[in-house]
Amino acid sequence: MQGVVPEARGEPTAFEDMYRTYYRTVERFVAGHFGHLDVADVMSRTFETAWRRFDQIPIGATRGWLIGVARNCAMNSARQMRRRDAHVVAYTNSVTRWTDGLDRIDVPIETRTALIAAMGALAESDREVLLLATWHNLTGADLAAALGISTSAAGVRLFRARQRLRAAFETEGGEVA
Amino acid sequence: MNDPFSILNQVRAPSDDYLQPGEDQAADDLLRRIVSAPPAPVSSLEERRASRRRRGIVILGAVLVGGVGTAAAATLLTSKPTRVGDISCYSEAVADPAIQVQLDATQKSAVDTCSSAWESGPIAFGQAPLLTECVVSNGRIAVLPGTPEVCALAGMAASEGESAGSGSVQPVSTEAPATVRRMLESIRSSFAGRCLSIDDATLVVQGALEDAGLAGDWTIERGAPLDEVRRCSAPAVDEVRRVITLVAVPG
Repeated sequence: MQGVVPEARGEPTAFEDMYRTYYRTVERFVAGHFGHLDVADVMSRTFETAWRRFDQIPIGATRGWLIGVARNCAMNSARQMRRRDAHVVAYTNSVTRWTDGLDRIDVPIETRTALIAAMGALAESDREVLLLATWHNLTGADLAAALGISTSAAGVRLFRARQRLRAAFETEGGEVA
Repeated sequence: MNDPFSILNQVRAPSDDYLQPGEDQAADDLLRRIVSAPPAPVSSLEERRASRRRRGIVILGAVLVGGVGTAAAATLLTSKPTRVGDISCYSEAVADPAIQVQLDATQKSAVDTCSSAWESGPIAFGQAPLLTECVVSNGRIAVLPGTPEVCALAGMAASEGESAGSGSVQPVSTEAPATVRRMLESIRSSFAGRCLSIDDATLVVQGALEDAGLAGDWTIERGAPLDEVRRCSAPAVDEVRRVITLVAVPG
């Protein structure tokens, strides 16, 4: 495999390897959550930050760290566009995309309806942590890096969000086994 | 299996696919452009060394101003910055933060300038908390996490500069719903002039959230633990994430 960075002399550098490993993941995250912004600009800012801070990326949490930086770059872009509701828009869009994904699994229609309503009833901060943990499969240090908080704080935030999801699910008529 | 989280867990985004060279011209161009840029002006090691040097200076200041800061909390002092060429972004609302980043002043407000240090490093990689512009005794601008009271608590004056009225420096956003504004005002008045333990502070914030009917929407997080110098808790409010972080301040 030949890299595109001249200094690599035919082999990808560590940065290029990281870039190529996670580019599609970050692109999916940005396009999925912040498709109403300039995705190419957010991608550019994200990996520019990664280049500048390459030696500070937490070991074992690269994916979460990149998603966290992409999220912040997108929020900055949104602020510049005076889109103060960007966070709400981002995770509302994501719930729509995620609910489409429910069609792929075997879930009774009543359960599906209750789950969609429950997700819609949650605060966006809860939806965010739930979607990062499930749709994006971020756990532990990755989830913490994405949220920019400690691993224990991320665990607590996810735990509380799960509790509120469960309560909202029951309120919406879902049956918890 | 009807646990809603377990159902959520079955719906996943596609896993990571390695981007092959030549597969996406725009992605390859971006990579080339990024790696051809000059390296960052200050290496992380140098920055950490500089931070340590700065920290050595401000720890002395903290010892001197700790008691004064507490007394000053009730009567918030204000001042205009006189040295506006650079801005210090503090990681904590104390005179001797773990991280202190010196940034050149830009066209943006001091708060917006420091927001980037919270959002994309080196202070943190997350949503910036509520930030407040303060003025150090030497006339320099310092931006601390928290509401304007943190200036006095850290032994500084609240800024009268133009930046003080812009962006997230406002303790309560005018765009926030009335219930949120009332809740934040309630928290601010509960903390004013008091030195609360982390547990008492948590109870105060929880009570304010419950009184406002916002307990389900907002979360409380704990920052660094209190210690002998930073004996009091103060609330740092992030309205976007709906998080109130209890940070340690001198008392």
